[in-house]
Amino acid sequence: MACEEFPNNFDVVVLGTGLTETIAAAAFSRIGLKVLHLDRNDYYGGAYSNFNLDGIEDWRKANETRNSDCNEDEEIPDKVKDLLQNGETVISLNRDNKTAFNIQARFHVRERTAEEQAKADLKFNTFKFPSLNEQNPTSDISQEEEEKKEDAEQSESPATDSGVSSCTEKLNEMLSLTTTSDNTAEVCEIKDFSQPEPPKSDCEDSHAAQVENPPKHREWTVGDIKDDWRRYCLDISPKILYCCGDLVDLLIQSDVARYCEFRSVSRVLTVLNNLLLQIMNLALKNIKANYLDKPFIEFLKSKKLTPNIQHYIQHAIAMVTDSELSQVGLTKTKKFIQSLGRYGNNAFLFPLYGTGELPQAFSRLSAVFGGIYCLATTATHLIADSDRKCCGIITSKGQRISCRYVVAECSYLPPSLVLKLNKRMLSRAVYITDSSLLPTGDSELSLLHYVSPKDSERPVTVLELPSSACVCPKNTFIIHLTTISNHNDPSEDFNDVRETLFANEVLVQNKDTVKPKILWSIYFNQEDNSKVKLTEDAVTNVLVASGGGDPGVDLDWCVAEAKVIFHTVCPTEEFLPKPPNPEDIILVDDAEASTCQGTSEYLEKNKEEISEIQETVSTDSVQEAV
Amino acid sequence: MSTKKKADLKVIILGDYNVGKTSLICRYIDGTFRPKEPTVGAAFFLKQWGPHNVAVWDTAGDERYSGLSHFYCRGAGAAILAFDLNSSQTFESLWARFGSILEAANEDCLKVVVGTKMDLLDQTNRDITPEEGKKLARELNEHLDLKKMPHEPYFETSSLTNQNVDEVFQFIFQYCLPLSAEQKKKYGKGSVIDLIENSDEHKSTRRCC
Repeated sequence: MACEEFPNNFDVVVLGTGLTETIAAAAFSRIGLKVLHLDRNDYYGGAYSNFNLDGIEDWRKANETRNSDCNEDEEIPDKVKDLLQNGETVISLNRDNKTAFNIQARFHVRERTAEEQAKADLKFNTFKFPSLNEQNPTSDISQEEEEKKEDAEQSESPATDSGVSSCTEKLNEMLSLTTTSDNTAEVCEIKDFSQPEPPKSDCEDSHAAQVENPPKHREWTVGDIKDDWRRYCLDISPKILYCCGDLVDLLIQSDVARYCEFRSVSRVLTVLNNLLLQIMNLALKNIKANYLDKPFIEFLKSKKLTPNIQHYIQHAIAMVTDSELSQVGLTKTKKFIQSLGRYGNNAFLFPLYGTGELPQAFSRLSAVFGGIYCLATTATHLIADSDRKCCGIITSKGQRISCRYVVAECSYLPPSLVLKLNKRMLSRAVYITDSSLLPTGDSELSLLHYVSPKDSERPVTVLELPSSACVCPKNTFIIHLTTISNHNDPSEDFNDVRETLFANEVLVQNKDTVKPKILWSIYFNQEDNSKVKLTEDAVTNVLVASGGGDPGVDLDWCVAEAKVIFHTVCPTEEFLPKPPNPEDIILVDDAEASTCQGTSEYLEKNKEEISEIQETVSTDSVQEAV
Repeated sequence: MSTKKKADLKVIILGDYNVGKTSLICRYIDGTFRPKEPTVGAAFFLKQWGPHNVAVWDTAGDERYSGLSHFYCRGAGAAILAFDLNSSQTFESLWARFGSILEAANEDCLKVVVGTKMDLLDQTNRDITPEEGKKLARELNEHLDLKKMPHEPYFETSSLTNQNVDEVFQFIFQYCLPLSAEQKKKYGKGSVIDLIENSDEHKSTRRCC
């Protein structure tokens, strides 16, 4: 499909489909600029991508062989030279890029036995119909098939697990009943980590509410997880959105919101004195209701809060380290509190299917307004005219494309053109687990800012996603961990949090434990490319977009970055104005235009366009016209 | 249009370039024929069907260069797989090109095979027989109970003459709606947040501080 040549002329060529680039591309397309949007990968999102279990394995393999080095001094091929006009020069671009380093992925569970495999195969086959051949009468379905169908239906609800889940569900239902009454407490104590790995009896009498003791877990196998490979959505850069943040505002304003759905981050957790605690929403709701327009300290005083509250505010609400300036802490606290109440009593949202959906949603808006998209294609060279002004690109298919501006994600540009200001790496871990960090009957979506006693300057952001976020099958959880890298091996950066929050594989093998068991894990490092700028050597009319990899929880800075890019190119235009109502848009072709006075005037002005969009004042006038 | 905006069902359309996907949708949505190519400007429609809201997604823009993404298929309860009755290649594409991305649709997604441009078809010299079309439709839906359907999910249509167009959508809605209790649980919008719909009075209060 990607064999046809592109048109030769665009207003803007965008390289990379990360969030900043896709927002910018949508904004350009929205005001009618011609946009060509390329990505060297065969998937959207760059550093913001999400993959299923097979996809992430492909991504891991691809990163092993990738090469980030750009040979800037390479000889310009003759076929590129042939495409140049008088006085033009070219700059080689990065064709390939490692998006992650030191990737390690593995299963933490055993393989299926031959017997289990045979059983699983059998179950799998009940879903399959024998392929009907053409001799079969088409209208009626045979008795045999009907029976098969029934079998399939029956085996559908317990899905891939062997009867354990129905028991689990019942237990969960009961548990959810017991937990609801706890919600009035300001903080609810769930787990005591100062206790040794709890033997069962110990656990039973330690706390009145037995909410934390999860039901007996099934024993997972590699096959169980692999069978559902396509139901996992694993983010490379898991992020959440402030309910009152710029990204949420932009999604609404641009109407991109209708392509996406979200879930609330329903719990904010913290670890204090070795206890994993839930910061109760109730308390925070009161802030919103009564103290929004009063100094924050008044609220703290009026509530006669313990010093622990300081901890909550610092680590769970503002999410700042000890060394962070108070200015930052106050701003973040304010943003958190402002975000409460807009979509329920929670400050954050998580996109269904993962953060990787967001760049695709903006790409779709750009495409809807005429942006041309092509994956697995990049620009090999920038073309600069005699004034060192960028005037086009050469694509990896050897086509010359003229354009006024190039917007490139930083990894597309050679080191001579771009400066990376944050010289650090992030460490990330993604776990598939068999239970929640803090199990309750509900499928909660939880955020935890984990501060290790050993290294308070490198907190770990923990994002726990349930199956209701559409990122994993039932009875599993995805837990994302992010911190600033301090070791050569990314898994070492999570030693402390792993020991504290997760079941120890060696000690509790096959035994029940309140802590989640890690079934599968991946660790990797990501370059922090969130702050970049062009060098003095850069040609003009090239704009750089950051490449992600920041340790923060949200994406609002991408909106700001895209806005700057957009206004550099179009200083006076509106940034992603609300699109016209679908009922108010009509597509016009020449035949219709000839019968329509208003439309033909419009066509006069836009003759060169392939398709015309007319925003009409009301649908009535369109009807008259047609 | 009702004030409730949230769609109960997402319907998507897939098919090769220029098989008439947008024409089919436009014919259904507003009853006109628009022989327009690259889909620009509108690619999302809300259709009310009884008490239900249906979101009909069209492919966006010029797909000659890029394939469709999983994103497009996410959460789809029904997919129209459109091919040009006059081009066997577009028929073969349905399985080859779109089989894998439909994995992102709901597990019980109804796939309806729809031949387009019936008006251009020379009935005596067909590349694709109705039997072949029905066979593919059966194969694509082997996870569903075909008995619940009045006939195979296969249609031959013309957006120019309006032949069989409404029938495609009626067939989908009758099969898919209302969502069963189980589906509601699974795909139900319970605690899912729609930014536009759920945004409320707090908009004004938050501005004051």
